[in-house]
Amino acid sequence: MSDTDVIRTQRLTRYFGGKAVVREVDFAVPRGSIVGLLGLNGAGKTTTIRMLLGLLEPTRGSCQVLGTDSRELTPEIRSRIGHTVEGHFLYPWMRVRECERFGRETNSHWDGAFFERTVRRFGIDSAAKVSWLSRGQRAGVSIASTLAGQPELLILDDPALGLDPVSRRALNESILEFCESGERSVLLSSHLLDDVERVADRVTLMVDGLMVVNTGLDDFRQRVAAWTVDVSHQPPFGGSVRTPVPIPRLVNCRPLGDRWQITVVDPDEDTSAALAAIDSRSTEPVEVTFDDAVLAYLSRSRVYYSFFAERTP
Amino acid sequence: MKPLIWKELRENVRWMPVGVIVVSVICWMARPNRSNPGGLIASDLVTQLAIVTPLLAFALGVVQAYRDLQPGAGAYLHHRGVTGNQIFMAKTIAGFAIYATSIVIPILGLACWIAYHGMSWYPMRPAQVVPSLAYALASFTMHPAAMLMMSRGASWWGTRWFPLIPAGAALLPFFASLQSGGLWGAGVSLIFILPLLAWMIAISRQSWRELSSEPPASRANVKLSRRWLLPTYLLIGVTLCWMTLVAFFIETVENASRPRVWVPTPEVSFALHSATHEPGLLTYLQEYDANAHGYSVRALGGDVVTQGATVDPMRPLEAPKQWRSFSYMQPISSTWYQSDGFFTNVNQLQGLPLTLAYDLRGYMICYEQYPERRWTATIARDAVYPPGDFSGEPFLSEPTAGSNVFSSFSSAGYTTPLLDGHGVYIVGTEPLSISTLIDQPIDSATLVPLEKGHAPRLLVRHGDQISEYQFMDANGSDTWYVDPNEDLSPDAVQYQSYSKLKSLKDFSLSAKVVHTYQVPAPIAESTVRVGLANDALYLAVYDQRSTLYRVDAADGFEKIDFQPTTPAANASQDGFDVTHLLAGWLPGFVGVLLAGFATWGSLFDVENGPTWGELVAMPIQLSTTIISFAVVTAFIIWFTRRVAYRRGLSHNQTMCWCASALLLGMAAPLSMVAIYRQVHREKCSHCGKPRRVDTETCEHCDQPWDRPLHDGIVMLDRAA
Amino acid sequence: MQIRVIPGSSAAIYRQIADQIRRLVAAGELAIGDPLPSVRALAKELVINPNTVAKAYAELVRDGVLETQAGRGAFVAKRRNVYSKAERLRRLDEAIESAISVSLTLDFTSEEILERMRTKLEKLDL
Repeated sequence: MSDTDVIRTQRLTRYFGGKAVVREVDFAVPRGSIVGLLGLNGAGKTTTIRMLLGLLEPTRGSCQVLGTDSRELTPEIRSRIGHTVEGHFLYPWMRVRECERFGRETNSHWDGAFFERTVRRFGIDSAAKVSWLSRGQRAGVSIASTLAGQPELLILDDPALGLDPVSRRALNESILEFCESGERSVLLSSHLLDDVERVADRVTLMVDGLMVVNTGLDDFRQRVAAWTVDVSHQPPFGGSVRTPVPIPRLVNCRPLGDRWQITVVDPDEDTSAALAAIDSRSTEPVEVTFDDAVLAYLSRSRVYYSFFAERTP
Repeated sequence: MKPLIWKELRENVRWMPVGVIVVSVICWMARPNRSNPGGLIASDLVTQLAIVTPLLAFALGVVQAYRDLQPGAGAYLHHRGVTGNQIFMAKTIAGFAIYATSIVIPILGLACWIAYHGMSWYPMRPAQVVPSLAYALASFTMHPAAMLMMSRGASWWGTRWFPLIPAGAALLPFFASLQSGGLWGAGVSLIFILPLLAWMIAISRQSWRELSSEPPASRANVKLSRRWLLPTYLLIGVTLCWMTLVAFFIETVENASRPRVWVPTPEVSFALHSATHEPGLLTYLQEYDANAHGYSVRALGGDVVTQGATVDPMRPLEAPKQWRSFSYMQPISSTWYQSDGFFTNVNQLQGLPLTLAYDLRGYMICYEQYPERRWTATIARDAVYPPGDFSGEPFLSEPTAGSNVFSSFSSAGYTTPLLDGHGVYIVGTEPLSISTLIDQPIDSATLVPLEKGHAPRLLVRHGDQISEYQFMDANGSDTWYVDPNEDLSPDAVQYQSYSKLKSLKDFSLSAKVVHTYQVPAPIAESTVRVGLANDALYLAVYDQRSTLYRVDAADGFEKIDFQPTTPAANASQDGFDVTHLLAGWLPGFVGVLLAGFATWGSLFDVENGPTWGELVAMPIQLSTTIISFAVVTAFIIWFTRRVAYRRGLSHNQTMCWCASALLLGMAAPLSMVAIYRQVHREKCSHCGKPRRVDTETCEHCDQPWDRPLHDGIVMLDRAA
Repeated sequence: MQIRVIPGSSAAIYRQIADQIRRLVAAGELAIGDPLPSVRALAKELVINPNTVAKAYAELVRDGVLETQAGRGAFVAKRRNVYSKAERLRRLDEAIESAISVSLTLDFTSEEILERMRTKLEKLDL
């Protein structure tokens, strides 16, 4: 365990019944980075987060958070980790200032001023009852009470879910303000790719319980390339394209009107050769946005069988 | 801790009104009134609370545990600088505060109401609510039990509710002991309630800390010795559950196969010939007489008992009505078992227009019913006192015991005297008065009929002295007594009923010791049945059918040994039945206990115990049970091994459980299901055998898991 | 100085920032020696990760558009050509091609387009 990693997992695996939800995940979050954790619903993000927080024990493998095995987190270490729950759970009967009091009394390092600031940023009256608040305001209280604990590591589980644009902006501002010192780290699970692109400097991608990407955001963008091909035959039902030569490191191939977009990682000569072998009227490179790259990975599990190589005899 | 308790209180205080209302309704129902005239506060209250308070505690436990075990709420609460332990304790403390408040408020209200009305209206004292409070405290065990149930990840259709069983079963003895009430019983119960509560909370706390994060089987299924609280608890629960189930089946089968018609069984007992004063051994049959709508006793036969004779209790008798069966010396003891702590059941003494309650301080409290219910007098041993006056000399035991001893007085149309451990008293009405008829310590007493026209004699025993009293009127004769039933024909079974009883007070009775008998030393400790001859007393001890003692009034006794012919075995017939087939499902330790008792019984000749001889005398039933047990045990061991495999237990653990299955029966595999977490298996990519998913290496080929296959699209910089 | 970032576009955010600063410098809105906002301030303003801004500044410094002075931040540097002649031509062609294609779709004649372009260039007074 190097000092520079705030989270490190070794072959982290979790089964629910006989079904593996997280499989053999090895990843690390370096100190001071903001890591976006992306994946479809059910890809295992929340399960991974629950295991990191010690709320769920791994079936096998292990994970360390702030240098401690997450099965043995002490209250002291717990208070150095901030966490917001998916959907921003708060006790509906509490008032905002009671939330603050509850947080102050159950956390060892509490920054009341930060709480006030954040709550104001979301435009919340501190005498309001939680059950009266809008979803965005509730998110604000949740974020404020998490960040005011001055954690070293912040684990946010889909904090932007269902937020209005103003609250989203306030959320991003809060996260960035929190990380200003460069010593604090964030693991941000989200479905909002724009926000992740703005805020994160690293991106991790989970597909079907496997971690397939864990790298710098720009590195990720640079290594993914895409082409469109215009194949002569119409995609049949269920959509599949036959290639004479298998395309190496193919991420995804999806229909784009009557053309096909092929997304590849680390293109090289073999890729060009494989593309050239396709009976296509035109093969054009496409500019890959961050969204495209992520979507190519995420939709891979859904349309994986739409593209397969015809084995040359 | 403080904010957690505050949070729990704030969150769940809204359930308190529900509890207050429910318990208030119960208090309202338990109070004595016109529709509940016999309502004794303690027993009624405990009976009704017995159903409601466990439910309240259970519901509160479920509500408190449920929300914070949901993923979102759980993460919100658990993920801060607090431990699971603190959260659990906060829940327990806050839960108890809410529970206790919602019960104490209405019950204290009831106590205040009682204190306000005092005893002038009904025999009740505020302290009668104490047993109910003790029971409510015991019921709180359902709260940790509910939290335990919630924190276990087991299936609702499986073993999840098992933790409720021991907690619920533990309440039954408290119910039994507290229902009869009394501060003493409540105090003794408290001694057991507090450890029980502590035990339950400790178990639930362990479960909450360890099971709510759903540990994998490889961590949860090992080292039970370090955390034996929960497994032991589950084992007890499952065993109880299983035994109840088998007992229920046996009971059902028995009920279904039992004949619907009551078949009277003859009873052999001693009797005395009223003319010759010879003792005899007679067989009586109690039968239901449909014409008279009552039971009548008929002598089937019998014979005179003489020293060394062989007596046939079925020999036909010439004049069965001449025989009077021995009387049972009724022990005079305190009647706490039918009290609710301070008062015995409210009853009416025959011949008195008053409702009486015996205050356990030693006074009869008299209530007038009409025109309004009020406390009219306090009867003490020496005199009648006004209400509220407890300065008289108290009775030693409940004096209404006299109505049992003197039951033949009331059937002959006389009022019955009172009788306590220190004498016999006659109560007169208008004005209410009490006078002492006999002043001597009494351990047990019985009334023995004499020949027609004479008052029966009272036999009073104190220590090993039995005194024979004769009741005489002012003239010194005992012919004042007239029993109308004696003139009825021998076959009549109807009894006279009386509109008004003749008051004994009017006869200005006195009692005189006629004889004094010494109870023979060999039976000085036993309760006896007696038959009174002219100058002699015949004593028989229950269950000694071949010995009789004749005690002379002068002195000395004679032990009469004889040989009764054994009646035809009326024991149940040996044969195949489903009951014994089902008995094979009982845990083996029941058999071990039975064998132990049988050995004990055979070696030491214990009364009433089973002996090997009796067991072997019914070979079909015995072998049915043994074969059934063997087959069932074979099945259970197969089942245990299967469960052990599914639970991924080690070889040693499996062997231990198989061994315990011999003693515990089906409870062993069911406990395993409850205690251990299931193991899932996947096909190993190295050796092809199913391997556990929760271990790092394959248990067959020792290979680690394969990394998942990637087709070159995985991007990991400085990957792990 | 006005910089906007649009996430989800084909250019990475750091490239958007770098391009906009380049354009501002080229358009003269930022003169030589003008200070740029600090990395942290710009990141806060744009609500983006400071590392992204830092990366954009680093690229501009590498390209010679900006220069950093230790402890004082970044300033617009003296212009110097860091590209080869061929590269500059290629970039010019790229820009003109896109302008022309847009103009043609708006139904302007080549004279009108040239006239317009000349006026713009004269206004810049290069």
